[in-house]
This record gives sequence, C-alpha cells and structure tokens, in this order.
Amino acid sequence: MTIKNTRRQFLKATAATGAAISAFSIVGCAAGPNVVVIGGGFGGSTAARYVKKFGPNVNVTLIEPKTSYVTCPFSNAYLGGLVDFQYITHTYDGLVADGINVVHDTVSGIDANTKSVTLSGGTVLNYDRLIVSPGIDFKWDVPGYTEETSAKIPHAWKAGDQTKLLKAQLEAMDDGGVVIICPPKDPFRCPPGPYERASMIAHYLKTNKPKSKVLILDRKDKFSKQGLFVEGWGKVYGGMVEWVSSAQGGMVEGIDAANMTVKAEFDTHKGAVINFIPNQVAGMLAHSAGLTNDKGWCPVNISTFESTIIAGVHVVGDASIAPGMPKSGNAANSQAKACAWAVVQMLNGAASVDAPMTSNTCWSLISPDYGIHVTAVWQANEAEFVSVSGGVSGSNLPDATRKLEAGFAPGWYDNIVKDTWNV
Amino acid sequence: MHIKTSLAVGLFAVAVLPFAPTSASAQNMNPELLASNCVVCHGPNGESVSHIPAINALNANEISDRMREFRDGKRAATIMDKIAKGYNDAQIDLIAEHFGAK
Repeated sequence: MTIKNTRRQFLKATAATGAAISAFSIVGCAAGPNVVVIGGGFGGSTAARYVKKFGPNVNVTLIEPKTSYVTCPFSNAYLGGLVDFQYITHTYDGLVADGINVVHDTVSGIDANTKSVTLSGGTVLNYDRLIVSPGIDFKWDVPGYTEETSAKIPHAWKAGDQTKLLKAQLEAMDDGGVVIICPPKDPFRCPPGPYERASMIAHYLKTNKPKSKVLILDRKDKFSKQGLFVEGWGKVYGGMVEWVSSAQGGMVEGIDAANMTVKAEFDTHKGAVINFIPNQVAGMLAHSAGLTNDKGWCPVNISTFESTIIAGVHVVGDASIAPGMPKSGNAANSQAKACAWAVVQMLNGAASVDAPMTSNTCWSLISPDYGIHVTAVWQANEAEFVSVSGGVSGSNLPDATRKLEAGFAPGWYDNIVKDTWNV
Repeated sequence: MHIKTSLAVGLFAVAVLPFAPTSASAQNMNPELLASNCVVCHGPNGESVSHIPAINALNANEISDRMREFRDGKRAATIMDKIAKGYNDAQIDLIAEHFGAK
C-alpha cells in the first residue's frame, strides 16, 4: 500500500508538471476554448476537422497513437487484390494542415472533474469538451480464440497487420482449400462487412485458386443486404460461396488453432485459412473511462452525443449507442459532424441544440464489376434516429447497373477519406 | 486505436448535469450541417475527387430541381431517388443554396 501511495503521489506530481508545460507548448496563448478528441479513425478525425470548421477559434487537439490509419472500408478490396495497402492507409498530415494539434500518444487517464486528459508521455491536456471515438474491442468469448490465437487465425476486423496476415495466408494456401469466415453476433462494426469479405476472397480464389471454397459459419440467422449478396454469389461464383446460418449449424462453439478447425453446433470444419471475427463491445478506452453500460456500449444524448453517464464527454462512432443507425465508418463520420456542431454550440453558450439529420451510404463489392448499396437518412428525435428514407439496390438489375455501382464504391471511398482526413 | 489497459483511468464519478433536452420537433436546419451529409459521396464543397458526380458546378436552382425530381420519381437514379425522399422542400433549398455555384 505504501508503494502504491507513493506511486500515486508521483503520478500526481508528474501530472501537475505536465499541465504547466502543456499550457505553453500545446495550448499556447490562444484564447479560444479547448476541445480534445481521442481516436483518429472516421469518427475522431471527422469530429476534429468539423469542430475546427464550425468553430475556427476553438483549439482542437487530436490524440491517436498511430502515425497513420488503415481503414476497414476497402480492406476487403485489398484482400481481393483490387487495391494495394497504401490505398487504405492515410496520414494525419491533412489534419495538421487544418490547424489541428495532432499528438501521437496513448491516453493514461481522463479526469472529468478537472476536465483533463493525461497521456502516457506525461502531458496533461485540459479540455472544455472532450470527444472520444474509441471504436470497438473484442469479447474473446468463444473457447479457443484469444488475442494470441489471432496471430494464427486473424480476425482482421481492425485493419492493419491483421489484414496483411489474412492476405498472406490466402496467398500461401493451396488450391482446393476451404476458407472459413465466422461473422460475429449483432451488434458489430460494419454489418455487410463479413459478406463483402466473403465476396472479395471468392474473387481472389476464383482468379487464382479456382478449386477452393468459401464457407461462412454464421452466429446469426440473417444479415445485411442478404438477398443481394446471395443473388450475387450465385451469379458470379456459382457454388463457391456457402453460407450456413446459426439455425442450420453455423453457430461456432470453439476454435482449435493447432488443428485449424472450427467446432460448430453440428460439425467440425477444417479450414486452410480461418477468419474468425469475435463478438464486439466498445473500445477499451470507453470501458476504462467508465463510459459504457452493462452491455459494453456507450449511451449518449443523440442530439449532442454527450455521454449520459459523464458530463462534458461526447462519444461518437462504433462505441456509441445510436439507436437506428448501424456501426460504420460513414455513420461515425455523420455522427461526428452532428457532435461537432453541438459541441461548438455548447461552447458558445447555446441553451439547446436542435436534433440533427444523419446519413449512411455503403457500397459492397461482390466482384470488381458488381456493386450493391444500402443507404439511409435519419432524423433524430429525443430517443432514436428515425429513418426518413433509404433502401438497398434492387434485385435482378442489369449487369451495367451493377458495374456502375461498383464504380461508385471507390467514388464514395475517395470522397469520404478526403472529408475525414483531408488527404 | 490501442489504449494501454494496464493503467487505471483516474476518472472520478461526477453527477451528470443534463443538457437542456431537445424538442423532438426542433429539427436542425443549419445548412452547413445538412450539407455535410452530401460530401461523403460528392466530395468536400461538392467537388468530387472520384467516380461520383461533382455538384459544385450546378447552380442552386439546378440542384434543388434535381433533388425534387429524384424525390418525386421523375428522374432515374441508382441511389439518389432513395436519399432525396428524406428531405423536405425547405431542406432541399438550403442544401442547394449551400453547394450551388455562385
């Protein structure tokens, strides 16, 4: 106990020194209010840029450990061989050019009483409003699948080295093997993602290893754009892609990394490559900060995205509970703009913030020439995002329409990347 | 992002001071915020950098006319017919004025 107390006092002293330094080195003499953003993905980067856009006098600091960000959107196209890794990797130079103070460090503490964030490097940043966009973390609740196991059986559900590992395994496998994909239970990041991944892996296999198969063992009985995916798989890949619902025996009960098998409810399946996607909760930072509910996600006021647990702290993106909206990069981008608007209004002393309209548009690639979409526009009320329009691509459309939509997919990607990272 | 989990976060429980509740009828009509939904596909300022049409060369009347035609099923589309249905006349006019060539 004595040691602990001493350490605590030490940390406190360090923190005080850090605050004194940051007052000069980071905040400088600028007179405007301070907004700190934690997390440099779609939600955090958009929030930082739009706080600056809506409130040019605001000092905005973004904290992100990595010096470049790899997006989950288009990581499936990378697996399919359509784009290279550089295409999905983005620096923070564009945020710096916008006048945002980008700090590459990890957060060691948030103090909502003193309104400060302490970084592992010792810096203390004071905030008037804090926005966190911590993304997702994994539950590791399926026997045999741990963080250690993911070095052999990648989840590739946070893009980066895991994505490269899965790609390398696809390239190394023999023709005739089975690639097993295990999508998670709801709710999870990017609802159509696992099925687009199955499509892009099938494209790679059809092109390079045509005797191989993709087997999807699902812990659910239905999925996003299901009719369109099933139609597309039939048209483009014949019997190469097989989807097994939870009720049909897709429920995964265990992973055996040594033998490369997936134990499902009725059978054990051997994979040449296995892509197991764990069940999900809000990112670790949200848990450490006490922003999560008993289900592991962050409840927020949906007009401002301010936490209903901790005042002054806003949560956007996958970690937040935004009833009616999916967890996606576009949803995070849209929420971050609404949040940024609210934060600037609140800093300016507004008594209330009107309920925002948000949107999400997502194209999935079944092949390089076959794209399908889902889109929605929402109007927030006090409790939820009410869909005011939306829908999915029609079924049995002409090849030319599928090809046109396949072109819209990188169109969306290039523009949302520009909007989010200014690169 | 990866957060060090070994360090306890020094967060004190504080009482939430509820922000003034938002009326369900008060829709946010700020043009810049409304238009921010469009730029993810059509590019910042409507200046698309990729395979989706730019809209910044159109004037405000052309944009609002097209949005109404999409909404009312009078102009063929792959996706804009669905999106346009979410916006009323006042919102369409604000968005069109925001992007329209000056």
